[in-house]
Amino acid sequence: MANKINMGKKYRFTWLVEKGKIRELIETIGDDNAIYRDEHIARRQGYDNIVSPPTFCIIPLHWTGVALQVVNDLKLKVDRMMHAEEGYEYFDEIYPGDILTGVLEIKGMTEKRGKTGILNFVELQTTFTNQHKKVVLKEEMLIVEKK
Amino acid sequence: MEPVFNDIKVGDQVINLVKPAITKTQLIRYAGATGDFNPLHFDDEVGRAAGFEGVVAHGMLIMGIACQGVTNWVSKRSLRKIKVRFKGVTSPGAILNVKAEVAHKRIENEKGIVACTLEVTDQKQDVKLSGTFEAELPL
Repeated sequence: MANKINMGKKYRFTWLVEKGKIRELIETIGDDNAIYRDEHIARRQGYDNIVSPPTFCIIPLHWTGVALQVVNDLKLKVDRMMHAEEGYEYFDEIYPGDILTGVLEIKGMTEKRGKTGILNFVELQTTFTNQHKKVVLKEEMLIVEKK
Repeated sequence: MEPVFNDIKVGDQVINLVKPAITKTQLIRYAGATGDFNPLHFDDEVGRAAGFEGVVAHGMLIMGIACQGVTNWVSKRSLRKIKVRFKGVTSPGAILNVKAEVAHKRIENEKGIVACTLEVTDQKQDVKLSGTFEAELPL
């Protein structure tokens, strides 16, 4: 069960953005937009390189182990939780070779009584900064756990 | 080609993307790509134990598909924000349709801001994702 001690807790992680990961993601989504695949086309469209697609930053959250760490620290039950909402605010492109620093913060945990019982709402906020110390992305995630 | 701000009207249906049916293999590839190895997405027994027909798609896969629709319409650099709510679960076999409609437009700091509603439905018109996004277009 989530507890108030975890409110405001921060998790820091780093991630090297790789072309291969961009390719894996867009291939499984089935997105054929050339800016995610072809460096020449991406540059002609004014980007510095191929760009990462809008939902790319879910990758470091899982692959660094941070997502699982948060779930374990908050004692959330994986088989009773659902990803309810997701939001991104974009400030700059994320390119292969970029080194992202992510800081995930537990913004809130509230219990509400729903139709099927007690629901635990967990709000997570992550800010991603690149190697130039520029904020490139802000993320908000809402997880709902059925208690 | 970036849409022209002055040509956009509130009420315009600007995205209508129909995807090939979701496959089980796709969910496995999504798990591998993203590192989300929740067995709900690749083990039918776990899916059934959770009350579904079998495996269900990661919500973020559906959001990735919705974003494909978005950056087919506006350039990636124009996309400012997006916020979505995951509604019903998506199972393999689902044929997803991404739609967006212009809700609002305004000029701010010499840029044209367009705000749209965004929705992903399946072939039975069940809503899988609903949300909004905002793009900043040159004037």
